[in-house]
Amino acid sequence: MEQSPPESARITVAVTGATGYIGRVVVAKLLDAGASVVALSRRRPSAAADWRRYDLSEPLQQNALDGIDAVIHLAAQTHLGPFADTGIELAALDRLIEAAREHSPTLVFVSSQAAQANAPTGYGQAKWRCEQRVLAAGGIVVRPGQVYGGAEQGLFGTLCRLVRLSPAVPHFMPDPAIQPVHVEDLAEALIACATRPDVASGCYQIAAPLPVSFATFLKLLADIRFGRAVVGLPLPMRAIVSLADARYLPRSIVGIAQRLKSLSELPAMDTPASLAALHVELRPLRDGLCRSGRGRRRRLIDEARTLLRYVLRGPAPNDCIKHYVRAVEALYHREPLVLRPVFRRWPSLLAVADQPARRRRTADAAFWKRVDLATVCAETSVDTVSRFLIRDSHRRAGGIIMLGIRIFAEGCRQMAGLLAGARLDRLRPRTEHEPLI
Amino acid sequence: MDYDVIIVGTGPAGVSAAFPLLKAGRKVLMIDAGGDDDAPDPPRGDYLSLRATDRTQWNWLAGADYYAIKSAHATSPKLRIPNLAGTFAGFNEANRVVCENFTSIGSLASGGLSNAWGAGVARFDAAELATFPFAPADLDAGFAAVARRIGLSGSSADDLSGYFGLDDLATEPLPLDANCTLLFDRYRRRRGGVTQAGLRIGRARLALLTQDKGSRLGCDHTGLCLWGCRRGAMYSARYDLAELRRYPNLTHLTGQVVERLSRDGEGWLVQSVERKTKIARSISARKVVLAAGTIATSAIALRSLGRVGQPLRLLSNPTAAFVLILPGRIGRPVEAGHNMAQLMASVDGVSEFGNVHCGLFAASHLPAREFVSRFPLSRAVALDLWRMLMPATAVGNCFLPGGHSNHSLTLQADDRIMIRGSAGQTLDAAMRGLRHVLAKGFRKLGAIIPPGGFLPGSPGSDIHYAGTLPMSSDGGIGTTRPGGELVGLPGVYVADAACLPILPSKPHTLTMMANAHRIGAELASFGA
Repeated sequence: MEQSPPESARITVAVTGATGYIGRVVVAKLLDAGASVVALSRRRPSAAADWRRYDLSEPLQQNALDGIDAVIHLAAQTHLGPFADTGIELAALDRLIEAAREHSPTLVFVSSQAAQANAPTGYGQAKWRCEQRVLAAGGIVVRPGQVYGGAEQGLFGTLCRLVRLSPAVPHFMPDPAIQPVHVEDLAEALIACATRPDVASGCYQIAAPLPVSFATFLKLLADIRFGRAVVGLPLPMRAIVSLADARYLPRSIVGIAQRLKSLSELPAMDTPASLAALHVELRPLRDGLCRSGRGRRRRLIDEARTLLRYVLRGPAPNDCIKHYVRAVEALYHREPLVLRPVFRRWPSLLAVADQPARRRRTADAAFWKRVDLATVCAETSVDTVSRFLIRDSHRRAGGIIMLGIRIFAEGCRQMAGLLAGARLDRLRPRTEHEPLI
Repeated sequence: MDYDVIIVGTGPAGVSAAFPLLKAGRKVLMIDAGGDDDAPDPPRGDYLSLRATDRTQWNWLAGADYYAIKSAHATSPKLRIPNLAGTFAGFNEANRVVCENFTSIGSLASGGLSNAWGAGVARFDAAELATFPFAPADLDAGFAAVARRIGLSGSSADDLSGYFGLDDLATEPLPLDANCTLLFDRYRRRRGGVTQAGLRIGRARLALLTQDKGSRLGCDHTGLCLWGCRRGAMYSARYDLAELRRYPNLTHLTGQVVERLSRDGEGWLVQSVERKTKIARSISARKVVLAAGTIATSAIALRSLGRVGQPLRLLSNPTAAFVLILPGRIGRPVEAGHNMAQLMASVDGVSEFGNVHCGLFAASHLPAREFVSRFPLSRAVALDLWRMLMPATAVGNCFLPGGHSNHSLTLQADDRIMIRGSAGQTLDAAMRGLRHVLAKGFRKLGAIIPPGGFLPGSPGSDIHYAGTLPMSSDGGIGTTRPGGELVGLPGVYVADAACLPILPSKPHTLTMMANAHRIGAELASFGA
């Protein structure tokens, strides 16, 4: 994922919308890969790219495509969402295709999941018409799913602000499904289209093959990126959309609702073939939602902190955390457990999931191995020695009483565990690939 | 002929056979597979202070390569000690051993399994030696020579003096830790009831120095025995090997896995494969002594005999482990001390094959993980409990007589060695009886075996393998002559536990070494 194909080293790529949410990432990645980049945008980009002024609503400058091998056309009136003036976008695209006819660079057009000949919205229909012109001109069309990650810009920025500030997030009824794609993964796909000679003209759909519910997406975003637990506020999708014209509601929510509603009326995108053709591998959603976009290490550190805190009954020293994370990376395919926020906040509650009766029945489950690993890591530090060895005879009576209380509590917990049966076992942290039962 | 004698294996049997041969001036080659030369040094200091101060303790407690975690399912805590990894590594692969219902553990290293030995010693008594095809007195010289060489301790006028039969050869025992002092004092006061229950207790007899001996230093109770003793207080055949290298007529060749022997005129060709490069090699000698450890020795013998598909009986001691809690010691501070056996016990009347042998150890040097994963408690509470219990805990291991074992070792047509584990029908009853006697006997001493505190082990986990090629005066192929010579391979001798006709429960290593000395001494006179 880090390295682009070597072709990009000799290539000059123009990026429209270079200062936008996706454009910035594309430009940075192209520069990293050693390509020359010409930013076509209204504002000068901060990255070390050449800049030629470009505005969707204005005629193309004479030299705009001079010396350009590929154009990634990202510029769109994204901030308006479905309210975008599709006429302006269509005219701008026509000008670009016209200019490209002279220089014949590879044209990569970033479309929308909504693009369909018979789309329920005018927006979707307009995008589809754009796609047809690009394909007719021998260009490449990319339909991204729900783009997330990276800087808090665009629709993703709106969602971030929502879950960061509000205790409740919209839980639309019915709950629409989205197919997320991390902005860096999308950028990889676009660069592959622009720079790899073996990518044929056609339409590529770039998003997670399996949809997730929008409410789940928001909750994960809140949890992983902001460490917040948010409540879903049920909102009837139909009512929101029909009220939209009256503009009673904040425009952002209406925009999201309209976009989602239009998407929910479309079939899910079939993406594996496109991903394979472009050799792009998408990061798991949980990794992408983390600020760095590389959440695995971070999640392992969180896991180490949580389990060690549970085992140690106190904060974990750094060497224990380091050993734990490295051992999971070396022995358990780097795969983190999915830990509910409640366990991360109060690790001692893991005792509820750590039921010995369940351990006997599900001996192969990851959680037990991680508890054992945490025990080994906890025990091998100079800072934790008193958790394991009694080194003076102070407070012996107190210790015995405390132990009695804890064993009594454990007895109550195990009774509850017996009564709750397998239901309590649902709380046991699992890896993403582990079945619930 | 390159050599007079080639000895395959540099463990306790190999070195014991080598001494008389070298003293007689024979030109000897000792071969082992080696491979643990880069084993990390044992930690320096004492266990309890290292736990509180050593920031590198992860390396020897868990292992830089996560050894202890990767070996989580191994049958003994010793198999999770990173410093011993090289002792056990690669044995089954190199010897092409596969198992069913059996744990096969061996060593390719110089010094063999003695690098990780519990150092328990005993002398087979007249009744046990009655099954040997020679007079018991024939081993006396061997016992004396070996005891003098390796250094024994634990001499004590107690109920097990006759059982061990070593008090004239051993120095005084090491001091007991607090738990075992308590137990042993009570035992001496109330022994009537306890011995009536079938339990006799005495000090541990160990191949462990209490005083300096040459370059080896006496035990200083730093509690790092499990990681290999820096002072050399615990015996390892490596120390003898260093001693043997002073003889100009010895060559030590390491890194070679011996595969089979083939005839070479009057003598033998020892065919080996270099462990690292897999390059084949053969060396000739007039006589060959196999001392590679019972399983490897059996493999070489069967391959050399070409005996495919005909199982040998393999003896081993069925095991059990138990924990013993002394309630008055709960929550006391942990004490420093050695972690070899403190006390040993003999349980009578539970097995038709003889007594059961037990050792009692301190629990404080074993990682908590060894215990808490068995507690029926959530982990945090299990650790709360173990922290308080550990100072009050002694850990016991039990060895039942080899007569209960019914394992077989077979050379398959694909040249692999198959070991199938199986126990005699009476083992379950013997285990139940053992548990009952231990619980009853120790209860009289104020110590409790908690529920779930008695755990029978899996077949082979004792690592006491023996008896595949038993000595007899008139046996056929698959046995050895009284002098250790393998029937069917004249001039090839078996000096390790493979030639023992029986495997009682008491530690057999010393008798095996005395027997290897005897075989080496008899062999030394050939052609003379």
